[in-house]
Parts: sequence; C-alpha cells; structure tokens
Amino acid sequence: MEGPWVSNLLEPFNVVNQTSVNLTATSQAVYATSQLANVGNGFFGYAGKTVHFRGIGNVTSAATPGNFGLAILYGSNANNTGTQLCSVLVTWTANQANTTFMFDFWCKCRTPGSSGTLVCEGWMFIQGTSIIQNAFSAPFVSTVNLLTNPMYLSPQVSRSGSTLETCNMYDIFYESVN
Amino acid sequence: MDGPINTNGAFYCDSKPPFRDRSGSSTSLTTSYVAYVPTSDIPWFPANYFYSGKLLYIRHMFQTTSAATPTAFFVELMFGNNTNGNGTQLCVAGITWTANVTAVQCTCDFWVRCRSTGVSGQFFTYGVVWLGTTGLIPIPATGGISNVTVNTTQGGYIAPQYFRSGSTAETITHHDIFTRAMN
Repeated sequence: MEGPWVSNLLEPFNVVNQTSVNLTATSQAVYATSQLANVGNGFFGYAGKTVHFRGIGNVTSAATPGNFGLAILYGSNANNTGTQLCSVLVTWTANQANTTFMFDFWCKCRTPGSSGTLVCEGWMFIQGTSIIQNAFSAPFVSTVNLLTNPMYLSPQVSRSGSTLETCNMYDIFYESVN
Repeated sequence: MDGPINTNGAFYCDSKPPFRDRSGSSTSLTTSYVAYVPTSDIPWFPANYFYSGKLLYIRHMFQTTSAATPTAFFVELMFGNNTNGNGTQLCVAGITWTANVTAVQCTCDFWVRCRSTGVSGQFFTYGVVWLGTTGLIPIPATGGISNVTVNTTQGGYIAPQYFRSGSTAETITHHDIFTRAMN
C-alpha cells in the first residue's frame, strides 16, 4: 500500500435495471434514489475529495428530439431539484432506437463545509449521436452546503424536442477516489 | 504509508495480478474468435468469487493493422478457459473497420457486474471499444443490454477475444491488460 488514499466503491451496488423515463423539457432523475450513494453529511470533508461515477443505459429518440441534455445535480434526486453542478447538451440524432448511452464524471470538493464548493466534469456518449464533454461554463464551481444529509450526485436528463423520447438506465457506480 | 487508511467503506478497489510487463507479438486475425491475451496475463476467478453487486473493470490495450478489405472488427468478452471461442459470451460488438490503417492504438474497456450468483447466476456486462482512426463505439452499441447466465460456482477467466469479418491480412498485437476488482 502506497498511502492512505485508497479508492472504494460506494454502496449501494446496483443490480437491477431502472424504470424507463419519458423525457420532458426539464431535468428528470433516471435512477431510483435507493441506487445512489449518499454523499452528504460531510462526505466531501476535505479539499480534494473526489468521486468518480459512471452510468450505462439506453435511449430512444423519435422524429424531433431536439437536444438531449444531461445534468448532474447535487440534491435529493428529486426531478429538477438541487444545485446543477454541470450539464451537457447535444443535438440528438432522430429516430434512434435503443442506442447505448453512457456517462462518466468526476466530482471534486474544493472547499468543505456549509459553504462548500464542488467542481464536476465529465462526458456522455450516445451511440449514433456523439461523445461530448461538459462545457466549462458557469457555474463551473458550485457553492453548496456539504453538511446536509442525505445528498446525492443525481444524473438527470431532458430533451428539447416534442416527440416521445425515452431513457432507460441499467447500472451506475460511485468510486470514492481518495 | 503515511497515515491511517481513509476509507468510505469496506469495498476497496484492487488491481488483480498478474501484472503485465511485456508486449506480445503481431498475430493474424481470422474470421472466428481468438483469445489473443495469454492466459498467463489474466487473473483466475475461483469458484464462488462473485457476490451480488461485485463489479470488475478490465482494460485491454493493443494495436491493429487493417488491409484492403477488413470489413468489420468484432470484440467479445468471454468467461471461460480463455481458449478460442470457448466459454460464455458476456458482451459483443462489431465496428466497421477503416481499411489500410497501420499499427494504430486500440483500447477496450469492460465493466462486469454480477447481479446474482449460483448455477444460474447473472452477469451484466458493457464496455467501449476504441479503434484508432476507425472510431469509438459502446459495447454493445444498440439493442439494450441483457443479463447473461453464468455459473458462478465454477471458476474461470474473463478476457476479450477478437476477429475480423473481411478477407485480407489484418493483424493484432497485444500490449497490456489489467483487471480491477472495484469492490
């Protein structure tokens, strides 16, 4: 062992598919809260604390999907609730059935405490559409209360179009990197 | 070690030996799956190693050369004895392969999640294949992902196998592979 900063997979460990979500114009949670790791209550207790998380699922677009959006919210995992740490937006290819969708993000604490700060960066990949990184735009550094409990890094999706698009996630893991 | 372990639970991530320390030699691809990763390079998962929720991460680095009509490059991850085409296929993808690209770097990443154990245990597996010059696709690319039945009361290796569907002299060179027990 080279130091105390070992990495750990955070519980719970996801072993079931999630319920398919019909996308709307506002962010919706795509995982049941029971499948997400609680990162509240001082989990981000020191500057530099980092969590890596990755999800996999599939998405279906119809005739006019518009843009596909993925946002990472720090909050309760309720739809469109919490602090949006970052987002990714891509023009979504129409009429793509059950294409694989995955995302990969790293969230780092810059300041712990009740007026803490988090930075979240990553990418998403929709087969048939694109692989795209999140923009480094405001709020690149988000001020949040890191002492409340429970709190989650909640992936949420949306679309700007007008047809019936769906998202069905299969798996997610959260790895505490240090 | 310079302090107490800073842990968020009992589920440490560990790299699994053996640890690769050399490259392989260039080998021709055929039209059926071949286990290009030597068994001496990959860990053996003993009987009843897996529990529900157990997650593995595997990365394979290699290089390929395509000729005039490579058609498609196929990758699968197999649970078995690491011999050609034998075992349980955990996931698969095919990618239309750009012709006449020489010695390009390639990477495959896989995640294997045990969803249940036993004689009819269930594995959920996915990944990404990145062929230099050709592109990047998920494994699988479309159609959703289904659980695969695996007998977890028996041991086995988990390793990728590859083939090409075309007719010319494509090659693959195995460079490195590592396996991480994520929990």
